[in-house]
Amino acid sequence: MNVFKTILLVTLLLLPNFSRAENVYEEKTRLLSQHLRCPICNGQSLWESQSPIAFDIQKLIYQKLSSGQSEKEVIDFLYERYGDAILMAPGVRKDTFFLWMFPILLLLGAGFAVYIFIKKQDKNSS
Amino acid sequence: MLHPKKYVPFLLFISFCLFLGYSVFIPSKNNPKSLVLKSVSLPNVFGGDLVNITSFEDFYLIHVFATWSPLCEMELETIKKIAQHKVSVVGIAYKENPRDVLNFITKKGNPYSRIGASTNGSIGVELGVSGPPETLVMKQNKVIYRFKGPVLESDIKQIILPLKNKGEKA
Repeated sequence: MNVFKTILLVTLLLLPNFSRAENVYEEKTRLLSQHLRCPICNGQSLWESQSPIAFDIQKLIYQKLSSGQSEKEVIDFLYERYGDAILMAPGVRKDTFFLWMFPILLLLGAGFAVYIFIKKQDKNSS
Repeated sequence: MLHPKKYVPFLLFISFCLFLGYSVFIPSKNNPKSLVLKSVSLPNVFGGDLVNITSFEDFYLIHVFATWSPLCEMELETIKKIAQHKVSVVGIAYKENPRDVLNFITKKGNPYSRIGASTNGSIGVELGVSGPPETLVMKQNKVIYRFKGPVLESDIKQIILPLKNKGEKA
C-alpha cells in the first residue's frame, strides 16, 4: 500500500511537467521579442514592455511565426515599418560605425591618457 | 601666454559637446525606409461596405487617430486646415468603437474623405504605427513621411505642402 501511495504521489507531482504543452512558437516569439525594441518605450525590449503596441507586435510575431514565416522575414517586415528603432542592436553600417566604435575609441583614448600620466610621474619621481 | 597643453583638452571637450549637440538639434529623418502599402481595406465607420484606405489618390494622408486620445482631439483643427489645402485625409479610427467616432465627428466636424475602423488596432502594426496620433504622408501608396504625434499647424506649410508640390513637378 505504501508503495502504491508513493507511486501515486510521484506521478501526481510529475503531471504538471507532462501536461505543459510546449509551444515552439511561443518560445520563438519570446526569444525574438527580446531582441526587438518597443517603439515607444526607449530601452525596453518588446518582451519587457507593457505598452499595448508591444503586445500587438508580439501577437503579430506569433501569428507570422506559426504560419511558417522565418524569423528573418518577421524582422524584415518590422524593420520596413519601424526602421532602426525596432532593433535592439542596429547593424554596423557606414552611419552607425562611429557609434559602435566610440566605446573602443574612448577606452583607447583613456588608456593613452593614463599611460602618459604614469610616464610623467615616473619621470618626476626619478 | 597659455601653454597649448592647457587648452587642447578644453577644445576637445567643446568639439565633443558640439558633436553631441549636432545630433540633438538637427532633426533626424524619421523616414527610415519607404514602405509601400498594398491595398488595405477596413470596415467603414459609416457602415456598409469595406472602405479602401490605400490606392486612394496620388498624394494623400493617412491619419491614425482615436477619440480617446486628447491629442487627436486637439489635432482635428489642424486636419481640417490640411483638408482645406485640397489634400485628402483618410482617417483610421484606432482601437475604438465606430459609434464613438461617429459621435465625435458629428459633434466636431468631419475633415476626412473616408474613415476606416480598426477596432482591435491590428492595422497599426501593418502601417508601422506606434500609437495615435500618427500621420503618414502617402505618395503613390508609398509612405514618404511620418508624423509621430500630432501634426502642427506649421507643418502644413513646412512639410506637407512642399512634399505635395515636389511630387507634382516630378
